[in-house]
Amino acid sequence: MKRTLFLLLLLIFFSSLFASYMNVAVIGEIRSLNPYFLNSTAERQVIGYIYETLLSTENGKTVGLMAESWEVDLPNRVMHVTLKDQLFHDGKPVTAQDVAFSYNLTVQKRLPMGPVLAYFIRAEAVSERQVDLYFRVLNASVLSFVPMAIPVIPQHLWADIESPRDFPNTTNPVGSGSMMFNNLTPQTLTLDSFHEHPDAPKNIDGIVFHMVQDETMGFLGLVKGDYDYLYWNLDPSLASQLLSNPGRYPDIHVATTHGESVYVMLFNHRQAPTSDVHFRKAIQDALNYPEIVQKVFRDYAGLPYYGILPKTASHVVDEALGIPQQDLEKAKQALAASGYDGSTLKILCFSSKEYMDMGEYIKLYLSKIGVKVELDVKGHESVMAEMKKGNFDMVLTSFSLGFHPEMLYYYLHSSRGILQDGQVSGFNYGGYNDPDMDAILDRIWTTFSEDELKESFFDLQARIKQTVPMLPLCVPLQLEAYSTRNFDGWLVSETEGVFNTQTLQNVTPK
Amino acid sequence: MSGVRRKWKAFIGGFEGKVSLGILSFLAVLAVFAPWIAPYDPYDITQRDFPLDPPSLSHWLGTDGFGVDILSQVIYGARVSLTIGLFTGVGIAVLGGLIGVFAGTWGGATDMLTMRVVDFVMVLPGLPIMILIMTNLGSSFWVMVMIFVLFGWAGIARITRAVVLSERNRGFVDAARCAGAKKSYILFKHLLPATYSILFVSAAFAAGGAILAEAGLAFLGFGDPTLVSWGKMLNYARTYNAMILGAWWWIIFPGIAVFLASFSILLMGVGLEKMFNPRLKERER
Amino acid sequence: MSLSYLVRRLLLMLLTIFVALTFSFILIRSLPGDPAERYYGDPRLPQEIKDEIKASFGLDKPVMMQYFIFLGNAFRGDLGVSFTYCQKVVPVIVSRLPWTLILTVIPTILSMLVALNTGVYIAFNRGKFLDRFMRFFAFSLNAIPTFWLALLMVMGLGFYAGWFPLQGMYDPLLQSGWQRLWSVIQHAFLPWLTLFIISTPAFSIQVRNLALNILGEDFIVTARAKGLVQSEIRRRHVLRNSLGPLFSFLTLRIAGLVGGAVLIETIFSWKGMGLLVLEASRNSDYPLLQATVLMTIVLVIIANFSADLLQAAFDPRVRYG
Repeated sequence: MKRTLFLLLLLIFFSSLFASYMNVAVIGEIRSLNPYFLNSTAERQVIGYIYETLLSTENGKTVGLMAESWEVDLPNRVMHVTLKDQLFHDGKPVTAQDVAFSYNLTVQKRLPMGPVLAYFIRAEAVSERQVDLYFRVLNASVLSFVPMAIPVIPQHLWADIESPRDFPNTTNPVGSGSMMFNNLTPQTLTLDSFHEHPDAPKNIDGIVFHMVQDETMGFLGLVKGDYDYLYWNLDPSLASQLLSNPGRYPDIHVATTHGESVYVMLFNHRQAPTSDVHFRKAIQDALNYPEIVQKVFRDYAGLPYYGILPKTASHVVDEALGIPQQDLEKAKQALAASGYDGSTLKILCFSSKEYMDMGEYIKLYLSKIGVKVELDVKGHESVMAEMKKGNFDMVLTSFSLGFHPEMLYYYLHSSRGILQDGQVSGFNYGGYNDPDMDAILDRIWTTFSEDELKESFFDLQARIKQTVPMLPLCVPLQLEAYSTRNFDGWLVSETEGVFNTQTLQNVTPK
Repeated sequence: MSGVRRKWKAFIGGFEGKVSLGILSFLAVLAVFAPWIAPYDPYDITQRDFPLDPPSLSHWLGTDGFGVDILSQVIYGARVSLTIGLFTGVGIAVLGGLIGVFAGTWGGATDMLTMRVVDFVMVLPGLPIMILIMTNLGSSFWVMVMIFVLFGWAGIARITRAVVLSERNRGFVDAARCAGAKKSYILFKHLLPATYSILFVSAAFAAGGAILAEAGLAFLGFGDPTLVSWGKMLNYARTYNAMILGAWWWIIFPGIAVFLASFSILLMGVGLEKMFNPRLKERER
Repeated sequence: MSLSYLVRRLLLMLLTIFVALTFSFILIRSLPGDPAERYYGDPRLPQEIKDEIKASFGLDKPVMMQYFIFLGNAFRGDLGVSFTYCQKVVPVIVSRLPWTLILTVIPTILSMLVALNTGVYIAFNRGKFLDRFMRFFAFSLNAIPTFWLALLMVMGLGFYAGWFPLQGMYDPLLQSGWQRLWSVIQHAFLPWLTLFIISTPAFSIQVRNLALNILGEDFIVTARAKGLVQSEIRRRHVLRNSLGPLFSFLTLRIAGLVGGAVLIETIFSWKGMGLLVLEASRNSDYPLLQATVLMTIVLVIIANFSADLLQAAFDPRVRYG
């Protein structure tokens, strides 16, 4: 008895030595694997390997993930979906019943999936592989949001869960994604390759996600060979040091790809002088964009287009609109044309280093044209609270627009900026109100053809350049560090970076 | 007056007095005249040089990861630390002293209740509660001072009360009471002055503790985001990879500054204690 | 120690815990926004759904009602649900507690053992160079920011020398139990060393002062007169008589560390109670933050209570009316 036990232990020990798991460091904690309640970046990063949604985006286009095909019946606000033939990790097939259950659970249990509850009514399984989704409101944005947000969970494991709100799902999370759960400890999450899935990693057994507290520790692990990839954006100083001494750490590489979030400055359109387009243009012309990029981001950021959208939104971005440039004379003229009375304005600003530095530079440039500003630095929660109240002159923030450019609707449409009971009704915090812009945005939401969509987006960007509802500042690059010490075959994609599906399929242990 | 002068001589004559006053006045001069002493202005975004410069002639203590001169930051940081120490020390002495004296003078139920509150405040684990409060109220300079005072007054109140109780039973207080003096008169004329020495000593210790606590909170990211402080420098050093970038100067010097400030103030506390209570010196031998 | 004293202390302790609960309820209610708002987050939801979610959190009831429900739940050991962990907060906190205890109890006990010897030793050499030096050294350590010392440890012994792992609690890739244990010891070494360095001199001075007090007592004078040698006095009388106060001191010290471990745990990424407080604060997980702080307070209060009892039990001279 004892001997077999010993042999068994030995076997486990050796198999663990020979098993090839890729080691990936994530910053922060993975506390729960409940796909409806994701609270940390790390959780959002890993959950997609376990659970899947019906649709997804790839290079700006909508593609089926669990859905083989789908049809939209716009007048009746119904979406008909046909499922692929798939299995859950426990071997049971994914049925239309499961999909309907997952969607209805969101509604019945009032799960906080953004605006889903506002737009979605219910789902119904029509056959083994077909499911109908009924909407209260249906447009391009809802379509690109709801089926990409709601995870599909197995009904046989979730039917008995009374309150999903306090269900951590950390003992046996079963989904249909490319990897399946092995174990979760306070420091690691181990996922095994789920070979039934077409996207499952072929040459490795799985991934161990290590939760680290800060970048320094992650980087040291990468140098030592403990980790193969750091799942975050590298600090620009560290990246510049790595890239300038390539010989120092021969195994370590930095993948530099285009970013998808844009730093912007929002204006309060409800009051002078920020409601005046001349004033906003004066500010746009006063800033020295290359200097911000160089000083704050060590050159690891792209210059913004007039149309705000970043390069990663490649299917709709209008690069011909050009890049804003500093022109103090033009700025002074525009300022003179505006009703600016010389009062001191406040820039609301998050208390993190890059925002504060950007704010300081903007303050410096604006002093050159005679606009007086002060930084109003606050913690994240307080800034958000002020923004929701519409209580600011200007505010620095960032929007993630690379993969969902249609989100601009929420930031610019006048219906999203109504101030009632002291709260802004949507994300248009500054209350920008422009009927022409509204018309373009409405068109984007009801367009399903690719060409028309592109045209509408071009109109949108031209209108943004003309009226400057918000000011694009820069687009930080994505800087990812990976090591070729243990694995070969990393593939860098311009839009998705280095840690993408192709890489996972392609990497082989050395 | 000669009594004061004698005490001052006793204080400055001792080792503690000399050293603490020396370091403290040096730091105070740095803090007050920071704009004239510091070679650069750390708040001015245009006065930034090459990042991560090791100590050199143009930057005596090097530059941090953003190109800001460390020496200038250390000099400006003295402002935050010393003012936090000062305000906390004074605040604690005033609040704790008053509460202690009132409890001691009034006695009875007031006294009982106050002492239960003191017991309660004294056992509270400070740091977690401070984090709880700062998460709710945001972290600014005044919130920090307020928290330090709220957590620090209890110990002093207890000591002052004890002093008042022992003073109350002394002859001259009884005499005053017999002569028909009001409670408040006795309080301000006799009891309060008796507590001054203990208040000075406690204020010094509290100030030293506050400087350390401020550094710790700022290191955790709860410092005032708009002010240059030593704790915040260390926070940045850790967040922005000072260790792997090899910038030891970014970690060492702010820590030394914190040590010097709290060391000198704590030492001043010891010096004051010895000055007010010469018998202490005998016993230590 | 009489029974009535015990009962009185016990009642006082319960009252204190009750006050702490009430304070934390008021604090959480005085926040802008409520948990329901945080939960649905999105302004696009229709009002009736918002109200429904609010009701599911019990926030539609009057405040006093909510307060009594909160108290009732608290006494049943239910302090709410953490929305970052998606589960009841108490099990989350309980799972963190052992790690904090590992981090704090071991170096505290070790340094107490060392301090018992050094303290008595310097007490017998009172006024000599060693005594003065130790006192000055212990005093100076008070002024060193502990987290900075820990940072220097990580930088010097961990990073430059490479002798110790820099962070974490164990190497997750090791499978067998003994390897894990060894790994925990390796990972804990630097934080232990930091706490040991910080506390030993302070403890030694504590022991020294205590020993000096006892040495001045009549029975020691008698013992000396009886002709007992110093080592005998040290062993038989001084150590035994200092046990009570030392135990209570030790309990308080550990209680203090449980509350004050935030900085050390942060630097070494040690996932104990302190890091949990910080994590909850950073994620604005108010139920978790509140409950963790509350649990820490309760632990400290209980530790105080037991420290008092210990002192009373060990020292026959301490009498309470």
